[in-house]
Amino acid sequence: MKEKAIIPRIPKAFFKWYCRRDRYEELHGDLEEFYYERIAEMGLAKARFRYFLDVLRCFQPYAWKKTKGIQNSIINRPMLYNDLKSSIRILNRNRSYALINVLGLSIGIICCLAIFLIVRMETSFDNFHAKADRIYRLVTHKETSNGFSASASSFYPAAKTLMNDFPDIENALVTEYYDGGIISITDPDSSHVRRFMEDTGIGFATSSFFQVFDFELLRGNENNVISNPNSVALSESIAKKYFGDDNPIGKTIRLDNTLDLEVTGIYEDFPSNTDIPFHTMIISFESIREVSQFANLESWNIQLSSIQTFVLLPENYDHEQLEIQLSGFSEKYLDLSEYKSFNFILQPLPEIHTDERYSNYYQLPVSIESMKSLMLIGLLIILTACINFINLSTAQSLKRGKSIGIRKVLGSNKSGLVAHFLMETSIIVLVSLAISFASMGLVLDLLQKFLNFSAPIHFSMSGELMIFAGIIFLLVVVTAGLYPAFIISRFHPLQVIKSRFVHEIRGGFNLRKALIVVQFVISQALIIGVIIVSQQISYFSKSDPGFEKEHILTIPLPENDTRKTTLLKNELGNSPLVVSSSFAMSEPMTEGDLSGYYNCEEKGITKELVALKFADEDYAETFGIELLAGRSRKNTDSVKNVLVNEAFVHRLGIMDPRDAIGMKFQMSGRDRTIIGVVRNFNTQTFHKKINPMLIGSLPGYYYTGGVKISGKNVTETLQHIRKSWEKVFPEYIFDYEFYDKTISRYYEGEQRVSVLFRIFSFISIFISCIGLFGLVTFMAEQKEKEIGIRKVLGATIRNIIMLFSREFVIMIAIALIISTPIAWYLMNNWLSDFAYRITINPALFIGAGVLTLVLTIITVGYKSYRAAMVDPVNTLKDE
Amino acid sequence: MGRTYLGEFEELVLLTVGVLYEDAYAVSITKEIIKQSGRSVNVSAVHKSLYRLEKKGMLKSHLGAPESRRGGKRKRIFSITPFGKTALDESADLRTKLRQQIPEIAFKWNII
Repeated sequence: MKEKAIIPRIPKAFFKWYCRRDRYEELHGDLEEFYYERIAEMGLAKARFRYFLDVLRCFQPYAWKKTKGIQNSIINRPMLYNDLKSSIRILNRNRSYALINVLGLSIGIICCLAIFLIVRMETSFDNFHAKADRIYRLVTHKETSNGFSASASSFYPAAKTLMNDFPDIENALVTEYYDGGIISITDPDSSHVRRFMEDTGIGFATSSFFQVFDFELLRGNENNVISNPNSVALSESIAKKYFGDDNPIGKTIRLDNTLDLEVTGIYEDFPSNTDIPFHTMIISFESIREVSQFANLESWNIQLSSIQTFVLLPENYDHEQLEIQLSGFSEKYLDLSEYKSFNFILQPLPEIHTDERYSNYYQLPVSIESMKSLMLIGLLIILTACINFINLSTAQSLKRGKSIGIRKVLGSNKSGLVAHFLMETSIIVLVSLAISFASMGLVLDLLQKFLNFSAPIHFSMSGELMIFAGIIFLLVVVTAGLYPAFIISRFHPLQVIKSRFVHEIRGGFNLRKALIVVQFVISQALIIGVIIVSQQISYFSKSDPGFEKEHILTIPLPENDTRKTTLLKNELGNSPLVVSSSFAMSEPMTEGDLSGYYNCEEKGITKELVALKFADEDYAETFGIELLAGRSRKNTDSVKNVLVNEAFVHRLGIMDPRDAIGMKFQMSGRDRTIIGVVRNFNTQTFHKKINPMLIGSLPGYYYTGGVKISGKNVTETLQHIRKSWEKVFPEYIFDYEFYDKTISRYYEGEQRVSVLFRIFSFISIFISCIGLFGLVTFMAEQKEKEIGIRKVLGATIRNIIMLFSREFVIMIAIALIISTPIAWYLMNNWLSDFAYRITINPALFIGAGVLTLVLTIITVGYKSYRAAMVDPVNTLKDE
Repeated sequence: MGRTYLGEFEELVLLTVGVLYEDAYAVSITKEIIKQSGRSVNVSAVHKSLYRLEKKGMLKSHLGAPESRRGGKRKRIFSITPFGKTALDESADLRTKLRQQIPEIAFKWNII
């Protein structure tokens, strides 16, 4: 131990507070001894946490101070028992009131716990690696004529060169995600071939993969398991799927009918909270050359989103220092003339899951903002439940004036009464906590069904969860219990005993009204949020992306030999059920993006970016892309002839698309001629703007097929397509997806936000409604006589309902004035993420106001109607 | 005092105090139990049993010398009393006696 670490201050103070003097030395000595040992063993942070737990665990009678006297201590045994007994009696007497509180609080606590678990799961990604704090991902920030972009895409030689140029770096590795492949295994005895389609999870990585990351190897040596060319490590479950109980080591599997790989290792299945997606197999990196046309392991000209580079730094190494040195590194190897700026950045491993700027192989990160807004919603919900509690108990307190008065007369002091009331609160909160814990498993199952979480959430009584529940308990008891406790204990004994009713001051500022306004503000803001989110989502699904997505099937092509694709196209065309088919490098709208530079001397444009689409001549027809001018491509057209979009034409400064026909521009040193102009369509999701784009041809590089079907008799159509496929690619498994499905998947994140918003705002509104209901019930009870007298004097039922509702209508109006700017500001922020978005309609805010009004009138109306219907004789007969 | 009941964990602690002889204090006892039994034991549980055993008269204790690795604090060292030994012996005897009374047939699952 080099130096003595300081003992965490707050837990120590707590320990000192509760621990008896004569045992303090030995007990704290024991804890300290463990603490210092653990620092050496597991690091400072963990040791501090464990020390904290120890202090909590030692909070037991053997360590407590002897209580000095009855008067001073809040925890005094005889009164405690009495408080408990009378609290239970009081709650039992006011069952409906207790029920409303328990119901509201349980729902609130369930939401908080669920949100806690969701957030904990999302932030636990890749934290489990022992070296997580030293592993960084190499990402790039660059600025071009099209603006700033950040990406995690990397270069083939980056890892190797980094290791050579910076001897300080402990390790560096490069990985490539392989987008789905077919694995075939030949049985040596019968030469029978079994085939498996692996859509996800295949990766290529350099040999240090298992040294840097904490993925456990069950068989094989972590230093060299994938260092030989054409070797592969399988995950445990995949090995079982392929080989059953046989020993897989030394067996051969074939990837995509071309590459033979020898199994050299088995690794334990990845945990679900990792963003490294290689959960089926990891193949030696060099082998990528055999299966990818782009793979050139020495070239710095290719930057692919499927390639990622990771760096392991030595302990206590300043990664920002290295980033500064990396600017020289990028200048040395890359041609930076086309960038306004270009920087290599080191991104800490645990941030990969939550940094939205970079994509993550193929999955989208979860933004820290959405986590924060979730937590905010959780807080609002529990606040709503607390407000119910405060309102109901202060209202009830009038009823309890007498018992308080008597207690005071008999010598109870203020702090005793506060303790007594807090006891009541604690019972309610404890019952709610118990209910929430009991129903948590079910709730999580339901949530899991509605929302696809990044990883399954398991509910278990972990220490963290217990601490969190403890915090909620304290928080709720204090926020909900303290204020009413003080109000009640402040009553003047003489006043409450003498007069039968304690009259509230009418009008003016009143905390209860203010709190109801707060509830309305929360409900209205959430309603507005829900409406805007759903409008934006339906805008996505309904608005015209510029191409068709219905009745289109996409099929990934396993081989891009031109002869085979032509054959497939002919086969497909044989049936009238298939309208047309097209082979292309990518569909109109994709997550990734391919672009190149062009010059147009005529217009004085040099080196600007244009998005590239490569496809055969039927692309526009198959995907329903409208031609504005010129003609479609024919298969006799040379590579020179291209289609461009409106944005491109506008960039050239041409207004009428027809004028652009025949224009020439240069790409990769060759002339291109515009033969047609298509209507703008979204090449990327709606988050992004439409940039200049061209459609050219590049036979031999088509990876996907689009098939437009008539939409009649889909089963037969699919059979026809499958048959055609099997004729051309008998050794591959047929796989397809409907294009509208693919596209809606791009908006999964937004969908999830929308569903969450809906669930939680419904809950919040529900909680405030039951609170209002309780309050109105109570008011009706209090005003029984007033109503009776009014009726006798000739008030109609409508008058009486108005008497109850008028107040609430005013409060709703005030709430609307407050919630409108808040909701507008927040939702505008959310919308600003999207390049194509709805405008917020002011009528929406009125709508939210009307909706809360309707809900309130339903809630309040029922009770006030009942109160108004009571025969005055019954309420006035006894006095 | 009569016969005093000895809990399972208490018995474990009592035995460990004997095993460690002159170096029996909470931290060493906790570690020894973890090492020997393989279960996860928290020091506060050991504290509780130690003080209870001392109260029952099965253990006696004195304070040791201050040590720097415990922040200059002294430790409480425990040792077994004659009564503690009797309790241990009685408990062990009872177990052996009961164990021997189990008829052999009770362990012959396969013949039924």
